[in-house]
Amino acid sequence: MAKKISFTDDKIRYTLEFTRDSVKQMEKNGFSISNVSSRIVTSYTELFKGAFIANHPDVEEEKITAIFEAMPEKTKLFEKLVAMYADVINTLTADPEEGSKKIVWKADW
Amino acid sequence: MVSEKLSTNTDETQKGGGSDWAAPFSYSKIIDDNLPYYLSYGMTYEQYMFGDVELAVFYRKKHEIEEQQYNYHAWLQGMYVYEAIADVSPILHAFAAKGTTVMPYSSEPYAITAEQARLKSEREAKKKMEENKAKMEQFMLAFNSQRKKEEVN
Repeated sequence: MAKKISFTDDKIRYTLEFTRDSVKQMEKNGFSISNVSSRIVTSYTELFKGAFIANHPDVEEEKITAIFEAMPEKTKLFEKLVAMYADVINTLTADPEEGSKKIVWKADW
Repeated sequence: MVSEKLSTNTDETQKGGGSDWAAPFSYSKIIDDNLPYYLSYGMTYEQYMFGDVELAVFYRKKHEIEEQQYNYHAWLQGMYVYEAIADVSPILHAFAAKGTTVMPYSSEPYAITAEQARLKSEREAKKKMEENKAKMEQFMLAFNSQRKKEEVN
């Protein structure tokens, strides 16, 4: 199952996830994952808004902004959102077979 | 590093409105480039674009399994052809002796699963038992017949 974030606000159940279509829409609107890695603040809100596209495309921007403001643990939230966003591409690439040589890498951001 | 490549795209995306489709690391390009492969694996466009992203992992695995099965069946077909040629090989050369016969082709398919092998083994054991039983009955008939002759004499 794809990674999802669920919460309830004003008695409405929201499920945030990324699909390939929603990622394409985000990039068409100018979003780039590189902005998140460069720690550009607006990109975090864009990432959060983009997570609504798949299941809640009709939610107004003001509502999303209000939900964003009310969200606790934003750092952890964005870590999860970035992981979900990356999964859109990661699921398209094969993992190395068990037992074969694996390269250990580490990101510096 | 990926972040170094991505930084070349920062100015473009900062301006907003439209992504740089020629960017070295565009998720959209990767998504579009992989679409034909996953369509060939049997995934629908809707599943690929709008469905659970992890579905692609299972379609990729499905494709690998299908490739293994196809390879196995191609090998099995080759085995049947090899056996057929081997069976008729006694008469396939110009100087085969008159009256040379061919070997009979296998009367049943190869047992390729454990269950098929087990059933084949049972059938062969049962056939052998019946043959032995028939031989034993013939021997008994002959023996009894011989004894009766001796008693009469």
